[in-house]
Amino acid sequence: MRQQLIFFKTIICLAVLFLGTFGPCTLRAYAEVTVEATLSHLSFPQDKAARLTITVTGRSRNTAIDLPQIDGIRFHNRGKSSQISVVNRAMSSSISHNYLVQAEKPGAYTIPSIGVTVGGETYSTQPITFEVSPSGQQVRGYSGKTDQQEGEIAFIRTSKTGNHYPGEIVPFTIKAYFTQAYRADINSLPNLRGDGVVMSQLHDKPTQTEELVNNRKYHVLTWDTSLSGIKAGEHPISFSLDATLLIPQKRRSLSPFGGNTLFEDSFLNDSFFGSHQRKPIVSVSPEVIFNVLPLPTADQPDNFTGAIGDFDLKVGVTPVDVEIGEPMTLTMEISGTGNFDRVEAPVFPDSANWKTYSPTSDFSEQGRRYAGTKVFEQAVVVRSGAVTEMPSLSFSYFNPQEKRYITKTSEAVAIHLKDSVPQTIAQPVKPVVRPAQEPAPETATAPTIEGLAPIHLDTGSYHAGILPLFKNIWLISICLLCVLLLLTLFVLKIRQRNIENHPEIQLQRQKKLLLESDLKKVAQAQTEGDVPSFLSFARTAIQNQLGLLWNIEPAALSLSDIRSRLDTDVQLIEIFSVAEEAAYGGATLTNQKMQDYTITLKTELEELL
Amino acid sequence: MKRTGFRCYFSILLTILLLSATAVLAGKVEDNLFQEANEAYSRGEYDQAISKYQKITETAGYSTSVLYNLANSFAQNGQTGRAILNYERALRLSPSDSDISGNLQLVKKENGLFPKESSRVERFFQLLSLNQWTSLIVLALVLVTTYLLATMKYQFSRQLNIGVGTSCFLLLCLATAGTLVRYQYFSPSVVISPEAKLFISPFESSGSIGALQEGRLVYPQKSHGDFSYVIDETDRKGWIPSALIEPVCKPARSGS
Repeated sequence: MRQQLIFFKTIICLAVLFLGTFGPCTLRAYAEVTVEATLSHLSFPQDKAARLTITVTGRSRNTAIDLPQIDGIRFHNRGKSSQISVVNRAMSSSISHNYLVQAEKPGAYTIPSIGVTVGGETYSTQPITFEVSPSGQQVRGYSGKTDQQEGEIAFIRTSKTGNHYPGEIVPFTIKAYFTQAYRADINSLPNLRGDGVVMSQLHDKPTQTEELVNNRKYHVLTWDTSLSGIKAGEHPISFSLDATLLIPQKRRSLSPFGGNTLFEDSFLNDSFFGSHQRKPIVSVSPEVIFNVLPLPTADQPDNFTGAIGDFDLKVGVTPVDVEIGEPMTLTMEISGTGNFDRVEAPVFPDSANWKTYSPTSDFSEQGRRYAGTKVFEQAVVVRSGAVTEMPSLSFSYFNPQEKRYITKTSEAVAIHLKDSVPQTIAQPVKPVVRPAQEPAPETATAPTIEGLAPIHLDTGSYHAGILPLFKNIWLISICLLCVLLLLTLFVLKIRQRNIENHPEIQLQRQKKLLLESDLKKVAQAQTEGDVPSFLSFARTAIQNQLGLLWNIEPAALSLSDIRSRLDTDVQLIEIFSVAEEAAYGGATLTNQKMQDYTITLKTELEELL
Repeated sequence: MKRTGFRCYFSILLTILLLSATAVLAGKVEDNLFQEANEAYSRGEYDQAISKYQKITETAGYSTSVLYNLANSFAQNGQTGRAILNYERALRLSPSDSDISGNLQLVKKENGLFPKESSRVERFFQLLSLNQWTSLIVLALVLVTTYLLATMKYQFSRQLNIGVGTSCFLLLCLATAGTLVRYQYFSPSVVISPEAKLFISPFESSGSIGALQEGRLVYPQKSHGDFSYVIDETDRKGWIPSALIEPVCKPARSGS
């Protein structure tokens, strides 16, 4: 019973979910019916065919198509395909009826409105005009020649031009259209064809959009640039663009069997499977006339430098409280739109009261290259106490909208001279090497600087190059040596500290070294067969090791001390005993015995370590 | 056998003598050329003086005095950019020479090349030259090494150890920072053309950012074709034709 209830609930949930997901969408999908006819090529040769697709969206059943009768045109039915898609819960259903369109002779044709009856209602498609070229000619859209008919595979549109002036910056837009039916690779940026006009550099990455032209979708590449006329006159210009079309290799054949064959399926013709042909194309825009008018010579200001546009002038100076001879920075800011390349700093009036230096300029654009602000900075120095203000400066330009010259003039800026000894700029001392009485010979073109310190009379040392000291090999060597020494010292220091903290390590090392030394003497005496020395060294070795072990003066150790502290079976006692006897009474040992004693000494004393 | 050895020694001795004589003679030639250049400068024949000083630089290498005299000649000849270039080069070799720094300031002032206001930190590091900061690094290293060596033999108080160690470490850090900061400004290039412009892109046809005064120092960052991407003293960035700038530090011997 419980299981049945769960099953029933599940069914209800699934039904609600299904209706919630597809129900309203399905109704909506069936509620709107649209009919569209498209032709794959609007221009094709007589020996090829174009595909006519009539798409009915909304209802996918019971459609009747009434194809018109056109002289010289034959329609071959290639079946139909249906598609259902659900995107974001919105379902759409469409059915496409495919026909191949073939012409019997070249010429211009129009497929009139096609009547499509869907569910008892009749709908009409838009008429389609197309062109059929003679057999053997390539399709115009992707031929190597230029092609500019809109509705083709690729074409260029440009913005309109008017009357302009030499040097004027004219904003200009170039749009390249590529049909979405093919993939295309761009091989170049648009090139300007024509004389008397220059184009500013184009961006490598144009804006990419999609547009519908004559019911066909196009990929659109847009370049925003600017043109500028060099000389007066009417200049015909156009733009060209090199591209490569990737044309799918359709395995189309006018099959007598009719209908869609497997190989005509658009899926298999997709470039994904690499079945495409590369066709280079050159797209050229329609020619436009760029008319450049001469600048009016009447009323042209003297300080006009060729600036055309609309500008504003601001002038500032800092500081305004100065002493004579103290430099001030004059800032001239020209902002607006126009040809900033021709904008030059306003000329500072020539005056004996002022010393001026050549100005620097800095241009910052505002989004577009022909809009921005150009800032000039000029150092100026007051030379006379008579100065009370910075003179006004003016800047002239030609306004193409108003078609007249405009001069902007700044206001004079008050200057306050601080109290100082009124003087002109100090006259510097002439170089010593020059004859003191005679004025230095001056050439007409060489403006000499007075006050330079005299030249040096000694050559000094020569250097192979100008390098910083830290690149000197000696310095690097000294530094490396110091670093190595430091590292070594650090290691030694750590070791020293370690020994200080652990004296037993040092004692152990001392014992080991002493034992090695004693055993070496014993072995040498054994090799030489010198029994008294052998026994004497053996005795010393035992005393040294046991003395260090028991913290007793080694020489004070006697046989009784050793016997009292060591086990009786230790052979060291025997050796020590023999050695003691030999010291007072003499003894003889065989080589074999000495060898045995040496081994015993080594073994037992090392065990004591 | 002895005869062969004698011949060998004789050949070596002769070679050494010949080389020494050549070096002495070459030095003599440069001294004479230097004297002639100085005389030409005194007569106001700056073109001739420049040519002779440049010849010395090309053959013998860089000398503070030759570079300084060459810079003076350029300054008197109205070639501000090359004058500043050679003053800067001379200053790299003799940073404390007041004649060089004085003349450099005068030429810059005369041509309106006023320096950018330095920050406090920059002013502090400008107290010493790059080589002086580098010397301080060596000094700090030698001091700390010597002190550590001494501690191996002698026992010093803990306070003294800490004091000396900290002082040397701080000196080392400061000197390293000074070296790094000063090195940033050690190898600029100088604008040697009166008509230099900064461009947005490394192409003649690209837009101009602004003009660069002759004699301005710029710091090249990278290059593309015939253009260099530079930052100038006022922090402006842009591309400039490489032919219009000349590097101050040049390892190869060549006059400018």
